Amino acid sequence: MSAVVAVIVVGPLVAAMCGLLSSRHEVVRDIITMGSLAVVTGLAAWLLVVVNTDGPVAVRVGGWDPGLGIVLVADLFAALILLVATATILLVELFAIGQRRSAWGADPRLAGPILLVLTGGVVLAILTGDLFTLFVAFELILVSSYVLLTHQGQRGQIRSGMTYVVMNLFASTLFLVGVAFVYSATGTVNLALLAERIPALDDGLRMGIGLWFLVVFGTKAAIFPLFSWLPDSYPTAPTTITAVFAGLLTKIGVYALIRFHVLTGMDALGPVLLVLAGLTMLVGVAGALAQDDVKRILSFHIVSQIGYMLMGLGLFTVAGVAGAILFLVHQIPIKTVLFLVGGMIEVEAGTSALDRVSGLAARRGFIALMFALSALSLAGLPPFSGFVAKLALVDAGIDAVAIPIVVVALVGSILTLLSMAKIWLGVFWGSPVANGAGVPPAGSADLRPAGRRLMSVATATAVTATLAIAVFAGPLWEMSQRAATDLIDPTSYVAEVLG
Amino acid sequence: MIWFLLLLYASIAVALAAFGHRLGRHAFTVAVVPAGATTAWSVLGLGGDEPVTADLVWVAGLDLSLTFSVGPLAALMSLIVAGIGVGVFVYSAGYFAADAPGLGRFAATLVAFSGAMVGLVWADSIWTLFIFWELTSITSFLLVGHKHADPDVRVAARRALLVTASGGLSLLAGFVLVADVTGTSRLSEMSAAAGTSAAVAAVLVMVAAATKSAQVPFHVWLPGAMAAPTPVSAYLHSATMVKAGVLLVALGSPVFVDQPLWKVMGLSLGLTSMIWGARGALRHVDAKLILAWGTISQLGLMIALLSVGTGKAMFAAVSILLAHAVFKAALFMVVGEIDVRTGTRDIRELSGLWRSMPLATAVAVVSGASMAGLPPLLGFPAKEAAIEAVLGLSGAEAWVGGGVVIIGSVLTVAYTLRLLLGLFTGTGSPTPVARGRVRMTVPSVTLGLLSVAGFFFLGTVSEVVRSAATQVNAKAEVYDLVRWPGPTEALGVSMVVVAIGVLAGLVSHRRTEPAPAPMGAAVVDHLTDGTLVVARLITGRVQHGSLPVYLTTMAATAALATAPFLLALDRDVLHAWDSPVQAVLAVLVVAAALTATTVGSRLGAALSLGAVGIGVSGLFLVQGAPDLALTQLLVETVVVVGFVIGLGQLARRFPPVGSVWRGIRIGVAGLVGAGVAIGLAATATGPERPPLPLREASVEEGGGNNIVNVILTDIRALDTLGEIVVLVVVAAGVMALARAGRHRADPPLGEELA
Repeated sequence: MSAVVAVIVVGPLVAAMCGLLSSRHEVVRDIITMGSLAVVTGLAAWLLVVVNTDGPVAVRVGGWDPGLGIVLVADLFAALILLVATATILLVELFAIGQRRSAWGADPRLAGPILLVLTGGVVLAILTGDLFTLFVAFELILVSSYVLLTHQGQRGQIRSGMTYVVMNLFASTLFLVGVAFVYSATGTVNLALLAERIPALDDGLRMGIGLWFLVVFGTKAAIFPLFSWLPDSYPTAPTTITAVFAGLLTKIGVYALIRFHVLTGMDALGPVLLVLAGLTMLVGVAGALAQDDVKRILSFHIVSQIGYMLMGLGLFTVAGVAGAILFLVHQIPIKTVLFLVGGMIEVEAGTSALDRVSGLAARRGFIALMFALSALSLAGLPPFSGFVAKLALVDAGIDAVAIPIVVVALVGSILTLLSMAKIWLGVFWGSPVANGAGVPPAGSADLRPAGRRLMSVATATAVTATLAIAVFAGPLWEMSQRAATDLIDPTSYVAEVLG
Repeated sequence: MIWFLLLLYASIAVALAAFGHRLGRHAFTVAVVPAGATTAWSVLGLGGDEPVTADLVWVAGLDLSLTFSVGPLAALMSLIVAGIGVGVFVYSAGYFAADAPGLGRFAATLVAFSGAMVGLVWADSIWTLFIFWELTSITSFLLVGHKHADPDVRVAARRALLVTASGGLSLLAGFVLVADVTGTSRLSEMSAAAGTSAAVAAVLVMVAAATKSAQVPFHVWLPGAMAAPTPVSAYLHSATMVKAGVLLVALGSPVFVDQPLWKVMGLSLGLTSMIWGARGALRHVDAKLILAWGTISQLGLMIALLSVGTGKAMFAAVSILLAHAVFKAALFMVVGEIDVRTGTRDIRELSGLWRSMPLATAVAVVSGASMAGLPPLLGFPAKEAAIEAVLGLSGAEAWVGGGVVIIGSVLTVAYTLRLLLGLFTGTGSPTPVARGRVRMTVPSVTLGLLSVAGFFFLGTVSEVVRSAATQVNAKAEVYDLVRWPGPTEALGVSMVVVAIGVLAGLVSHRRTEPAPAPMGAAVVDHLTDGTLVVARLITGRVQHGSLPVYLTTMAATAALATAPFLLALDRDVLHAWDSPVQAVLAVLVVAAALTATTVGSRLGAALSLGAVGIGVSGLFLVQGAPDLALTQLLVETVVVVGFVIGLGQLARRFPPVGSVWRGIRIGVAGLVGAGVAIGLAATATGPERPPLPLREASVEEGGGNNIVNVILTDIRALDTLGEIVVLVVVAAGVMALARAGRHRADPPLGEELA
């Protein structure tokens, strides 16, 4: 199994370098990109099956002892998120190839390889069992996402890219300081060792470290009050790029937050997390309601939904953490799909501004259907995946007698529905706009029918995947519960890494 | 069979959505299939003793499952839902013009609704019920908004969605509590719940029922929902979906039987709605609105009766539910026909229709009479049962309940008469009428005849109602619907009610006043728009787009996060410095950092930062790490050179900043610095640990004497690989930006980025 883990981690980075070198040959580049993503996704699926039956897999990089060297660990939590993340990226790349010829397509010479670097960062962040390697993974993600955000060199992109990179670099600096705190207090950066040593520290040190990493991962995850960089920057990037960002980047922050804080037993921070969760939900959804552009609305929803995962984490019970994990599994594809649909709206109507698009349901029923299915899931309506995830969280909240956060979560979901209704009423209903604004713009004339088909296929596959998450919610919930149990009581994780 | 029928609904809905647009009005012919099959099966199920069940586990850990149990009540409900569904589909084929747009999609949504409704009434697990409950809300939203080119329709659809979906959330919370308290999610296994959680759950579930069944003050969405095509109004918003709330109260009554709040809320919601709805029906001039307000009133009666909790009231409620579904659907169909054939449904404009539309008049009169509770129609014995049930109460309940029900009945008679007179008679010249459509007439006539037939086959009806009511309340077993009660107290009351009602109806018919403004609906819309305004305000505050403010917020948060370190600070171990040189360097570093924040020229700031770096490399040197110091020095030099080259493109001085704002920023930055210092001091005073065996590892295993090199290239090679890739990506990004910049005509970004 160690070879599989190694290929998953290093494969995307190597493929990315090859992709950069072959930047003049479109076909070769596409084969490298799609091929390596497909291989990684396949291996991730295999890894999940193995981990699910045989327990966690730990790989000592270079054979060094866990106290000294780097360890890669695939436990159930990691394997589950890994599969969802890589599959999502694969589908987005498919969409990107289809969209390439339109005015909104990213520059393919750069986007493919850099996307692979981003994938490499995401994979490394998920699989690493080492706090410092997590920092490196975040660096990979940050720098590749910055390049993806700005590589077209448009004015708005560079301006918002500035906010993005400065905020995130500052967070990286704080991360580095945090690693210093941890190393100085415990003498290690190995997560398994930290799971043993941090709970043994004084209250003050423990809380200080916990809060500090809450700020670090919270910035990456875009929680209140550290989320401001996100809604300013995401909507300016090309659709496919935003789709990946929306699905993955903040979620990796949440992943790290769950991984670190549960593993190191930060239960005492629960109330703080719950308050922040509630504020994140409400401020995020308020932002969404205030927007008049599909991509901007969706960007604020990213923030709002982070609050739900934070709520599950803040409960620090098996049910709560499992709820957060299931929510994560549901959110990664659903957010991506919504942005892909946003991209299709843009290609069809020339804009994603609500007041300039209208009556799309009559013209393109397919887009309306794709949007409806994913929007209902986002709002947590049954029988979609969002409902199961929300129910799991509400159930956990009531079990833990955390009534205020449950109320806020429910209010948040009705407001989410309101903002989705706003998109539906604005974009899909009404009479098709007759004045020039609704006419497809010049850019989409280059869009080949095959490209359009590819975009539809990618979106439909992704929507089907989210429906599959709903159908298989039973086994997924069972896995989430086991993953949460192993995080809360990390004996088996620690034994696998150190043993 | 349960699975087969539900799958039939689903597959027909999907097929219609995909291919319906090619079928035109024939889409409705296809749509009849699942409803017809369900009707037939429900009739067979009416007499069955053992409920038919079906069970499919979805998420075991959350007790989520698709569980159905079709007993007498469920069979009766699905008979109503599917039977009227058949009528509505036939009616729709006549209602729409052959070339009307979006018929396939409309038919598909209507079938989906019908299936969801059937699933709802068959549900045994509360979660199954919830799933279908929400599906009916969504399909209702889509159907209300069918004519969405009209902005008013869109607002009405949004309102319907928000009110019913809020109710859905209330139901979700209520059900989680119910499952928690009773320990099961099966309705058939639930026993009476007790305790605070049960009381809260009772309130939440009752609120949910009130939103779905349009009870005051949650009724506001129903009149607006009349913007839907009339088949939808007849089907969803009178006969079936709005009954879901009534069904919920019926199913909930055994669970919440010990909750006084349940009864109080149900009675007050129901009785208020009964009066307020009837009042609304007396004031409006749009026939559909009159019927909608009448529905609010009748649903109020049902909910009030169900909350009373006696066997007799339960029995009466189910009877009225059945009678209401039949006559109200028929009335809506007639109004729809009038609308299609004359172009208006304003009772002030219509005149002489009793001559030109005799069949429709007959159906409306029969159904209206049933609504008013006159013999020989199904509405009569049902109304008698209701009046008997309230007369049988004692104490305050009898006075309040009895009084309100009697007043409500008077008003019902009055608005029925007003509606019939307004629709079919009039003083003006006869309204011109277009040709009739058979497919609209057949269903309404059938339903009209059912109101009559129900009275003549009262024995059978009574049996069906009784077994349904008994399922929820065993005490309903002894009651019967009576064709002619003889001179009872209730009959006397009824006669008085009819007499006063007819007088009131005649009076109100004469009065013509403008239609009242939809007060409650405006409140909801204002609330919704207000939410949007508040959202804008909050967002304006939080998301102002200024990077310095974001950064300051983040830095302040980080500084706050270090507070706990203060607790762990061990002052005894702390000392000022190991060597005085450190102090000198520290002062240099701090002074340079302060200069960087206050200096006005960009070049000066860059040089000050360089000085900070040089000071830090000095600290490394003192600590005994010359390699590190050298690297740091190199980096600083390169950075300063880079700055100097880059700054050539920018203005020489920073844009001016207010002194207060600058002070805040310096202060916050200082706090972060202090926090980090405290954090490091605190963590350093933690427990002593043996140092890592790095020397042995690098020399013996790594084969290198320079520990730092071995760490970088061997022990932590993966990290180094990652950082190398980071550099490659940065290079590629810079090249891309440079390329984009060359091809662009925009002026340089210089000042904006400052």
